[in-house]
Amino acid sequence: MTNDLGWSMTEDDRQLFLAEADELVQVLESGALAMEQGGIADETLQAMFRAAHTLKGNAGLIGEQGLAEHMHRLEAGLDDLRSGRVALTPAMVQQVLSGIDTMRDLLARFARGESPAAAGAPETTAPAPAQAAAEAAPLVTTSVEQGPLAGQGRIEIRLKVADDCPMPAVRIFQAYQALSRVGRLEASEPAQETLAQYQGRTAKAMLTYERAIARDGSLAAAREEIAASLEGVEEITLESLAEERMAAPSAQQSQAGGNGGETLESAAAQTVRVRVDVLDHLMNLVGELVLDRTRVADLIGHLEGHGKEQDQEEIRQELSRTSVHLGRVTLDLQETIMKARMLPIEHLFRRFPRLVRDLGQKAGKRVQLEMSGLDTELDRMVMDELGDPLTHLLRNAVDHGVERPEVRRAAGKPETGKVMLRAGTEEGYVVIELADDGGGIDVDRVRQVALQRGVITPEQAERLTEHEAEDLIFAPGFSTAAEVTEISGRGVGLDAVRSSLERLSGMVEVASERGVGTTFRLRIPLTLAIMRALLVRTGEEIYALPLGAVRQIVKLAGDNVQQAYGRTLLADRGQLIPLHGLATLFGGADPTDETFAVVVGGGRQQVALRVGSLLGEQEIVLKSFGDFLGAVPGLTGATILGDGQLALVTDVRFFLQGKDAS
Amino acid sequence: MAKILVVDDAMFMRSRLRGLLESAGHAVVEAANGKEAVDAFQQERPELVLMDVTMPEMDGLEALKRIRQGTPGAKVIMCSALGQQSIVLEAIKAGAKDFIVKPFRPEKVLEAVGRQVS
Repeated sequence: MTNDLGWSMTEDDRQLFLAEADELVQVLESGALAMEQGGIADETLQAMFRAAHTLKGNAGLIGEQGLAEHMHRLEAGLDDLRSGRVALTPAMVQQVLSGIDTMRDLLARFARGESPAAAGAPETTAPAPAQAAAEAAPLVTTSVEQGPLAGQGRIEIRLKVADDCPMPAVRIFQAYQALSRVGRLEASEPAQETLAQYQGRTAKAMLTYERAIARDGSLAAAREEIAASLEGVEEITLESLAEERMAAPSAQQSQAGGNGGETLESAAAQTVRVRVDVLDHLMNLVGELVLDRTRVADLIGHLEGHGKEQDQEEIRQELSRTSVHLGRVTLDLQETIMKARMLPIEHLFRRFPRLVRDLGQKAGKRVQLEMSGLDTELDRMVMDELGDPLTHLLRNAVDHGVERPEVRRAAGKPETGKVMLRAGTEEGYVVIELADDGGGIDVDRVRQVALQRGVITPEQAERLTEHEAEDLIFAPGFSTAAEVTEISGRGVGLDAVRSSLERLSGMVEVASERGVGTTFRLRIPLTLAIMRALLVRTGEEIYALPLGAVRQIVKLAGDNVQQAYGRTLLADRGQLIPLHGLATLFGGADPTDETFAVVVGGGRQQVALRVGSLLGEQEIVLKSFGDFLGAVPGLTGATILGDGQLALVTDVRFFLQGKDAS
Repeated sequence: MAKILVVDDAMFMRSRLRGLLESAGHAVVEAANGKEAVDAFQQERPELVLMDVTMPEMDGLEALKRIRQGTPGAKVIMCSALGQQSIVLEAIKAGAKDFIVKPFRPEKVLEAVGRQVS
């Protein structure tokens, strides 16, 4: 694929562009949000300006003029702000944010393979607030007389090395050096890194002129200066020099809507940056595997060809050594690859400040989002799955958690509500806490609503503890919002959040205190494919229980098993926990001689499972049953153990959803 | 006019260059390998160095790096043979001002020298 400018572009280039664009847009957005928080540091403005500038350059390079123009206007606006030509107003912040949204929209089109440039002006998804439009200084609009500044854009330079000049690549490199002294060398063909292998005599370079030169400079002036810079380089000629075309922007185009939700995640998600030393390490490990393969092949040769009796013991020992080595290498390989899939959770969290701001504005509430633990690492796949549930919980916190300013004032709280998003690790699990300082959950209303909607029976309602009642908010079809609001009332409740977490073999719990706030706690395995599990045997079967769900193991004695309400209960330190035979839950015969109970569950929701024997804990690779068996209630899949036996991986949530033992 | 350090392990090459440069009015000092070149540069403080690439003891690239480490502004022209493009590229990256390729014609040498010294 070659674009208009003749720069070839592969899918990798495209992904790289998108990934970088996403980062740059984030810089712009967090800067704009900082502006809004009042006061803007010079460095922030500089960083925003640079981000807009780089994005413009990149967009131009891939031939997306629509994107480039848009960034150009944003850059110019930021420059006005930076130089103090215009002052900062709230309306302008809104305009910058709208500009960022338009940018996202354009990038999303590009990510989908539509050409934003070909599509012409971006559709405006929503008009900017009328007031903002009225007072707005031209921050992202560029008036006609301002125009894109002549010569300020990028200049394409074609170079040719004389036919009889030896080592043309070195001359080309010298030319690049010379060009870098007058402007910014955005890109070149061949690239500097590949010059050593280059045999050709022509080159192309894309140069961005600094604004200072560009302001009064024309293309002719630029040509003079570039030609002069190349004079010191022998035998190289400037073949052509053309200003990259920038269509005149239309002023209307810049008005764009607040659509902070759409991000590039989906397109960029396919790319993971891996450090070179990690790749080197992987390569080394593969090398060792090849070595092992050779050794094993040798040993087979020995056994087949000249299987002398006295060699047998030697061969056995060698095989055993190779096996140990193989185990070490594959373990290292597994860990390294898993590490390569890990990303800091910041990649997920960074879109939330904008989300919370917009939600707060829509709900007429003042909300401040505080985030911590941004460097917590998580598997890329898991992170992608977490986006929706976390968004849902944030909407929930803003909509139902944080109170309106007047209510907060009356309660003696600061008018601005706080939402805290914390991430951290805990025994191979990532824990994310989302806390608000709002009104907390009204347990009585939860009980009442759950009754009304038939989620629970009157008898159950009576028996429910406070915590169990709180947990009802995760029940399917439950919603406490008195009226359906624009933000979170779309018929989807917190049950969707819980089922998302279940798919990840994770858990979500809630704890709340009236008047003080609500905290949601999410526990997610670091990675989906590999988990630590407790292996137990019951009857003929081996089951694997995810270790994260295992609370404790209790030896069953006559006095800690009780019967009450027609149920079998395990009495443990004053607590009564429902006790089930693990085998019976899947319809098997119940072995009666079982002596251990494994208590599983999250926090207050616990179930004890009676098992025959404990086989120990181990890392297992989860295999789904696939299409053949489909979803089996209570089981997430199976795993093959080291000795070839099959173990069924249990889905602990299944037991916690109140399956009564028959 | 200018003091120039000529570095080459071939004595013949040194003498040819000395003759050429002296006839153009320059003063010439010599070094036979990279190690000598680094020492000679310290003592003589020449305005320009003509540096051969392939030499015993210490090669031209290493000598270039050491000289520029001690004197960041040092002007060095690499004298290379055909087929050493990647080394020359490396040298330019390391700060060499220019390069000439053997077998060089006298006027090429003087042109290259002329661009570096007034």
